[in-house]
Amino acid sequence: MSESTNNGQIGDTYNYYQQTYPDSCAIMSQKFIMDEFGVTDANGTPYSEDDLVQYASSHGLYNGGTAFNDVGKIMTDAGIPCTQSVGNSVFDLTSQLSQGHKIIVGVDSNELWNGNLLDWFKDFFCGDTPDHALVVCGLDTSDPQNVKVVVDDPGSGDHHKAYPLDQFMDAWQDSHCFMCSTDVAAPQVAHGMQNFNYNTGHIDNVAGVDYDKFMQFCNIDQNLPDMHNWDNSIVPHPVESLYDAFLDVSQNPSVDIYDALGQNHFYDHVDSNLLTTILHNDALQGYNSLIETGNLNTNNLMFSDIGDTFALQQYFDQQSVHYDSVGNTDAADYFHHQAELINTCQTYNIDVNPADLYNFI
Amino acid sequence: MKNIADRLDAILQYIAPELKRKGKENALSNVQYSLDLAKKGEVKVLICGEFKRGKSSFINALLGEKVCPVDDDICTSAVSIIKYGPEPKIVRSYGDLSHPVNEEIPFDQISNYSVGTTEDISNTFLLSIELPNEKLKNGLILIDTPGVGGLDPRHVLLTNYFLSQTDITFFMTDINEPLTNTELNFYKNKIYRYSKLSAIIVNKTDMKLQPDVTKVVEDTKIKIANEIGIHKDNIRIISVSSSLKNTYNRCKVEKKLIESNFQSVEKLLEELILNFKKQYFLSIRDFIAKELTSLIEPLSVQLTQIKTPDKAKIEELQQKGLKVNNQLNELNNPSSEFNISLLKQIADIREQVINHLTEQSIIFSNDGLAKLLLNPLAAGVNGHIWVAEQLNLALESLGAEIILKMKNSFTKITTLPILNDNLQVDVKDFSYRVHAEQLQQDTPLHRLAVSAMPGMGVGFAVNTILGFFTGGATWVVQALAISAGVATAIGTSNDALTREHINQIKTMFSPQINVAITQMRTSVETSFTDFSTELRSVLGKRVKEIQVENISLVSALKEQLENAKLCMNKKNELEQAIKPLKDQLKMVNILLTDPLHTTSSETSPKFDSDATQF
Repeated sequence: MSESTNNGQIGDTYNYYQQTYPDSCAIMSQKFIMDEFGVTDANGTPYSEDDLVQYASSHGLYNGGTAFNDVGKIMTDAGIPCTQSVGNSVFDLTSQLSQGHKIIVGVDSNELWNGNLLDWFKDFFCGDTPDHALVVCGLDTSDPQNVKVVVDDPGSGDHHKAYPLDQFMDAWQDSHCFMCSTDVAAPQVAHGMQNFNYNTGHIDNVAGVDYDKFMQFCNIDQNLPDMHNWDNSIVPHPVESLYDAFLDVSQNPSVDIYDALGQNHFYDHVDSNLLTTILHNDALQGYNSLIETGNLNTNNLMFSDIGDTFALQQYFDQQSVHYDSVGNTDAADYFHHQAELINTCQTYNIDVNPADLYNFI
Repeated sequence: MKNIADRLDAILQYIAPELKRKGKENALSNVQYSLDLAKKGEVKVLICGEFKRGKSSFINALLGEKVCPVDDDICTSAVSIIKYGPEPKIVRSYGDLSHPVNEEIPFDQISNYSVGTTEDISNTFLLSIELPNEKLKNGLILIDTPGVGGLDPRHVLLTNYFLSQTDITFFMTDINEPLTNTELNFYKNKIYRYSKLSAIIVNKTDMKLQPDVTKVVEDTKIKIANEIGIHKDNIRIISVSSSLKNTYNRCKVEKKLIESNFQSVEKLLEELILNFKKQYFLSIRDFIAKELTSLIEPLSVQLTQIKTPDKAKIEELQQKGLKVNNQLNELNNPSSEFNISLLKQIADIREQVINHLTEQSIIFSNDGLAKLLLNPLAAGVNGHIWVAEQLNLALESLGAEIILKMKNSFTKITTLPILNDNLQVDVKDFSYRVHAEQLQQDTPLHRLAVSAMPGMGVGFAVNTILGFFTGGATWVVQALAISAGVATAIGTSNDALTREHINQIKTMFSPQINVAITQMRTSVETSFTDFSTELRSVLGKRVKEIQVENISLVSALKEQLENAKLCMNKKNELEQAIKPLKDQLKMVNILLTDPLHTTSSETSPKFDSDATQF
């Protein structure tokens, strides 16, 4: 029986995933990724946390923690190009993972680790408090009702710890969904790369959905307006419906994307009152078509037939002037949001729910 | 390091099909072999030297157990290969080198075969020993050889063979024995030439005092350096005492271990093994990087050779096509803006001309003729001739004016860009006259003419004044003004013509004026008909020309677009092919590079030779 004793440690107590400095989470997260890429010293020994802390410190990348702007710079110096971004969604996360990229995100650690109401109140009164970086390893969508985000967390020392998507999103949103992802796929020997197709540069299917079809969801997501809470109330965002639709398709790939969107209330995010005002003429045209031909020409009820967003912009301008005059900018934001949403629907030929228009007619 | 091997192996497997496709099977198989060896992690260390230098003792001291028999009187007579095995095991090979016989022997009988001069011993040339020894667990393989001066040709052959096959060579010398010429020659001609990494071990230091040990080590260094012709600092040399290490192995007294200096041996061995493996990996890494580059380069060259689609040309063709299509639509569609405008323009011109003619007709028939008849000249004997002349002058002016008006109007249409100067219309001149017939009463002509002269002067003056104020007075008005002046003159000269005479003239010219104006109108209508016919013909011709131009444009545009599409497809295809290779190159280039520069350069000793090159 061999047993080592050192500094009071008996046996193997070393946890590779645990940061040993109080504020080296971003450095450790980069270490995880650098180790996956096989970055070593000249003798083939991976850099230790101490090595990296020392390097970061001497290069102005560590001073009581790592600024979000500096996350990824050690990796870049080590020859792993990476890109920082904010305002990301779960689709961006999934897309990066499906391309074999390794990801560091910024989170509010209390919200992630505790996830209780107290932290929500703290955000409410004190603002968002992102204070932690960790590596997102993957997403577990095996139970669509309970999607989990799997992380390597140097703060808690957890390896492959799974958090409910909602809890993760709450914690992530505090950093404005900050992400630093590698520009190249991880090597073949890295964790989770068994099914990666290096020839195409992505996995062949994402949670059972063909990659091209998955990209359709991503493209829609790319053009959705940013998350926004009006009047400090949490309003469901269309990306949530979009993701639910994606999960539906992942469960049953034969389901049409647009049907899945309908089933997941994607259209509810479009303000039908605003829309019917803008669509007045188009709706009437459809109605006239019904009278003349006996058939409802649904093309006349599609977003794509709005023609342009000029009318919407005019409408928005009038409203924003009005609302600005009483100091309420939420209305302006709201109309901007709707303008972007309708633009997206136009771009991807997403049909509005005709029922909204029947009421108007 | 093992992790590095897996990484290199994965990348090698990725590019292997492409290398095979390029006929590089041999290079691939060589590098794959090296990688397999590296992955096994086996490092063969050969211990060689003259007889009685303590090689077996050194191995025993290093391993911490008595593996090789040692005795003051006898020598190792077989090559022993010692490596890790879960259980102690010995296999001896004996007989002819080309047809060896292998036989497992009990561990305690090893001395019967590795030393001495019995029949069995003389037959045995190789002992393969496996030991569950911790020091061998990391892949270390020790090879003990008989003294280099032995007589058995099989031993010489094996030693020479292993020299080039082993990864590290320890050349054993004895602190009490000065270096012999045989030893120097052996080091120079065999070890330095064939071994990949080597070090000199000066054994038996326990038999001398430290200053002497230092002196002998320095002398050995200088002698060997001089023999080879390199600087002495490039010679790796360690002085040890196997005896003291064996003592430590037995009694675990730390002082003995330090005095034995075996920690230096272990450190050197560790360092050499690390560097040996590293050099292997670096060679493999560089090979893969080179091959990846050779795969990427031609694709990159192809990529640069793809012509960028001429966007300006495509846009120009698209604009032209759009214009031509619009022209065709305008020309072919009867209700197009162009056609409607053209028809309206022609109708407007026609209406203007006809209206003008009608107006002039009324003026001629009524006011114009009446005023002429008031002229005293009209009352003369040849007044009817004079009136005819005046009327013809006026008709001629009117005709010229109408023709000019039509020509100007037609020119506006013929110069339309869409007609491309194809419509050339020449309006035919026309001139219609009235004729003076014989009157019933004769009046002397010379009297009428003389009496009219002053009035003519007044007529011209009036004409000039009218011209000044109206600016654009027509010839008809001028003619009438002149005539009126003439009439005034005649009026003052009295009594020449009677009212009947005037009536006769009026009756003579009124119908003729109507006929002339009607003929003029007919000519105008004919001109418009001719113009419209010619215009239709030209428009039809232009449609055909534009259709041909359109076909040519569509064809050119199609070709450009197809080329652009081909270019884009090819570009995408190449980029798609290059990207994974570049990513793999990036991955391979990261390995063992110390990008953050944390490794000291002192820990990277160089190879003794280029023997590890593929």
